[in-house]
Amino acid sequence: MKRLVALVLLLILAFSSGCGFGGGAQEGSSLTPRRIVSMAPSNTEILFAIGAGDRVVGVTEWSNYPEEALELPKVGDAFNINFEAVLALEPDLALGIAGQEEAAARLEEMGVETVIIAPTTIAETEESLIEVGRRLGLEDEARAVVAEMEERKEAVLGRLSGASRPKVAVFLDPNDLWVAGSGTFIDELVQLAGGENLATAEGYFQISEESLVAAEPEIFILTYPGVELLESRPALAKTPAMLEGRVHVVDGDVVSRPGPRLISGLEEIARILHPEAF
Amino acid sequence: MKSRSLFFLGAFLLVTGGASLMVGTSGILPAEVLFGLWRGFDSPTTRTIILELRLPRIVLGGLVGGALASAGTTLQGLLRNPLADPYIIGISSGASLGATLGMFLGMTPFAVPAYAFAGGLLTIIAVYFLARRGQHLPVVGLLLAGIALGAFLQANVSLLMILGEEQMRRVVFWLMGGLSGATWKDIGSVLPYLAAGFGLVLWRSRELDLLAFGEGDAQRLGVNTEAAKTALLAGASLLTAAAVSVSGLIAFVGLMVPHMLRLIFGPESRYLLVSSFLGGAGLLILCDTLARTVLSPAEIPVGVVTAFLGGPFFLYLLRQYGKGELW
Repeated sequence: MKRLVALVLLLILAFSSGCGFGGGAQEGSSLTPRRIVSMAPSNTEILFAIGAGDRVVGVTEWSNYPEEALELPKVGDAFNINFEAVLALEPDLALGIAGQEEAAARLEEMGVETVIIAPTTIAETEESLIEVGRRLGLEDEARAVVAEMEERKEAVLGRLSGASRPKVAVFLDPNDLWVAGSGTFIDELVQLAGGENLATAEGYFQISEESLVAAEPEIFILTYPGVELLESRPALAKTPAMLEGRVHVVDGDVVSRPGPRLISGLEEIARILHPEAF
Repeated sequence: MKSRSLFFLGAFLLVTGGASLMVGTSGILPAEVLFGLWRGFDSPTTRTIILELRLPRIVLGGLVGGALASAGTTLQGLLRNPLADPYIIGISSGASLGATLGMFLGMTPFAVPAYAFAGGLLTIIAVYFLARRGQHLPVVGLLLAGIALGAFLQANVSLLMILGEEQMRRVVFWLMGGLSGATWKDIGSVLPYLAAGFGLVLWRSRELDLLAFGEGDAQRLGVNTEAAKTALLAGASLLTAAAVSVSGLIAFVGLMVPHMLRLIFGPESRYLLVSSFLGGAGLLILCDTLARTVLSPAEIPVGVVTAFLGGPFFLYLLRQYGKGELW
């Protein structure tokens, strides 16, 4: 038995040493990147926002904002990067998101500098914008964008007296009751907009209809159309939100992609939560 | 007849591999590829795409396809069950859990395959000891323990995914499986284990045939059944764990290729193992090539293509040979 254990450990060790410490991460080029591949729609938005749109040579599917991005060559989707397509574009920088570590490592190995940005709050998003701006030699432009974001954010906050905090639930999938919980961008927007997010568990999850109904939600927000799916549930149909018709649809991209448009999402949600203040 | 069919399979493999090298997203012309291979490439980008992306992907696809198919053949014989595939004894769940844990611990993409490999091997060892009764390894027990432990470990993976919001996406990509990021390093890592695993099962291929008669009869014919079963299990496990650790879970190949080839070659394990390896290799390369070109630049998960092609083709084979049995 002991010999077996030893043998297995030896096998595993041999395997991992074979995997090796590859990384051949190229020396970060100090040259300003001129040919950039965006590995996610949110990064496409960021790049265009800071004025680097003309340097973007490839994007993933679903990079639908701004419109110019629709014309750009596609390199697969965020879940499955097509390395051949990326390499064919001869980029000097690739911009990835959380979850793409394997793809990033592969691209680095092939000589493409890859940076992953993974903001989880508005503040982190603003930092990412500046970080990307700095790398591209567009730091001033990035700071200007961030300044505008802050200005608009403050404008929204200024209008809220903070008197009442309506109880809100935001659905990503009204069919299965997937909601946005704490720690998500949507959650941050709801809280800033002066609302109470009833989805208190962390991340995106399926909420139990019972707990939702028991909390007496006042406002429902959907990120994709599908009000009928909520109406078809008898218990939900009797909640204050449904009875008073306070059900609104917003553009899912605007409220969950890290980028300058988050502030537009904030404005929209604030208007929904506190129509009297706008 | 058999050696001629083996020759055909080998040819199929080479042709598929060669054709695969010529096609891809980036629109490099086949002529350019041939010229580049012969005289050297003009463009470093083309060189990188052909030699660092396509070629390792094709080679790894062949190795993984061959490994899964021969592991499937071995397990179908060992467990005396035509529905067995390499994943049935829990290795894939163990490897998935290993990979998931590796990602949660923040391991770099280079270390994750080692965690997957470790997970797979440790799982099969646990299954082995769970199933063993004294000096005897009942195959039914092996199957049941494998399914049970596999299900349990898979549930752990799901749980971790739910709890660990950030890593979920990374785990999902890994589980979907595929040959997309194949490197020469991956090939170097798995080659020794694939060779060892295949060697083990080929060495015991005679015993594999005799075990099909039932263990009692096999013993009366002089087979040391316990030693044979252990060797076959070890070989199949090495093949599967190595394959899964570098390419995730690619379904269908391990289950169907043995059946397809059994219809052509008959059940004799020596030929069946080699032909399974060649056939599985060729099939996976073919399917992966289609997966990465049909909807280019999007890539279809290779498991979808294998099922799409393999299912109907297998039904066709069944009808051709007019047999109702898979054995």
